[in-house]
Amino acid sequence: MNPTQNSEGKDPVRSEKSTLTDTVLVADDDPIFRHVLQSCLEKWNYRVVAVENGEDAWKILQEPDAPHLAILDWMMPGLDGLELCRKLRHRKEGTYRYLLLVTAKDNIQDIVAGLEAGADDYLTKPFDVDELRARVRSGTRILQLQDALLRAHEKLQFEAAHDGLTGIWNRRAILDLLKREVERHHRNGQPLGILMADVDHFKRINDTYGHPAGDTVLLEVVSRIVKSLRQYDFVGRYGGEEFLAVVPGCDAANLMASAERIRASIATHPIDTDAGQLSITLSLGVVSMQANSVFDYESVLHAADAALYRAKANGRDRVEVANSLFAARAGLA
Amino acid sequence: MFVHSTFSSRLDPLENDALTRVATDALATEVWKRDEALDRVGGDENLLQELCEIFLSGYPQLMTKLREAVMSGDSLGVQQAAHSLKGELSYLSAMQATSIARAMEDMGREGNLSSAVASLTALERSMALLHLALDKAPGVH
Ligand SMILES: [Mg+2]
Repeated sequence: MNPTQNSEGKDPVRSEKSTLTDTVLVADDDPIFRHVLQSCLEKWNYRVVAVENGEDAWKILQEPDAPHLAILDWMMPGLDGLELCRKLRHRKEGTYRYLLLVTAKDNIQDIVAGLEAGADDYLTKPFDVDELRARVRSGTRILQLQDALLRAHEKLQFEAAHDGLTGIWNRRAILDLLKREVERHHRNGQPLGILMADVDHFKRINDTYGHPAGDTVLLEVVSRIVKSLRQYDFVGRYGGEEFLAVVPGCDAANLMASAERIRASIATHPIDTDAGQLSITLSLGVVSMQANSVFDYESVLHAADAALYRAKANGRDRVEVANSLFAARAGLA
Repeated sequence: MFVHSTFSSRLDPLENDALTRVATDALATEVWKRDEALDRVGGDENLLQELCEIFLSGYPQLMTKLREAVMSGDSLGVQQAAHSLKGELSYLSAMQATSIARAMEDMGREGNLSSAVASLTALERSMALLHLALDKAPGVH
């Protein structure tokens, strides 16, 4: 039999305002209880998907965007509520489903079996609507809590890998990415570019115009670096005013062009800050790794750093390539 | 339908007797505790009406299932049909019919149908009274 949808005939899971935690699956073979549950839940602004047997419920609950809360009648012909609980809990993947098992009041010994089978809570027939509301609310609350926890976890994970001011990768994350890309480069021989960039005289900017202006400069520099590269290149904050970009699959000429583009994007347009327009320049050290290179990521980093040092020594606002030093370190000079 | 012919005639002559009317009311309460049912659905008259209508249109089929299971000595069938009836009846606060249906569910579960026919008769009587009560309720057609 087909699952009966909510009264408007829409699929509530996909409707615009719906969130998965406020859609409820109701599985009951009895038309009276289906009607009570559906009417009440809809009155309380839940979206309802109602089915009349366990097989349909099982089908729906396996879908990736299935309702997170399900009210399952224990006694249904075929697949019953208890078996549904067991099957759901045996699934390894997927979001947590909150299962409310409905049983007859005079089968109270069932409750223990129901909870053991994986039900989160139970409701005894004949339940009154206040009890129903309380049970569903506590289920929703737990799901919302779980949702919040999940999001907090994701936020923490993001924060652990990103720079608080600029939102780009932080030092540890960009170094991990560099290490990963160097290893990949060794496996597949694809060229790999590394850019190390440092804002010239940044300390002077901070001292003269204050830290808020300094922060604005950093944000704008990052924005221009990111815009000058491709979406799949990695940009991280390596130090206070020092940035590291990892550019996979880019040959030496293109890498040079990118570095030059970045340099020019900073030097040619002053940056608007609360302390006025500031003319800023950027020095860059570039390493281009071609096929058959054997350098580990630390030597690469070292080479980029040395190139950047040369760019500073040679007058700033310029790009230096690490080729000679690189070759020398590898014993190829 | 048998409901009306049997019970209307039995109840009508008692209309003028005040004492008996009290007794009938008491019986009626056992047949259907409407207030309790209304409380259960949070005072929602419309919802209660809809449930009564669903019940009235669906219970004859369940009774047929139960009757057939009793007649063929099918314990599991008795248990299942009586369980469904019990659920609906208890939700509507049909006290008398609920307790008979519950007893029949137990008989089915225990596999002892020796008094199932007597219970079935009692349940049919109780259901007929309930049908009258629900049918007369305002808004139920
Ligand atoms: Mg059921």
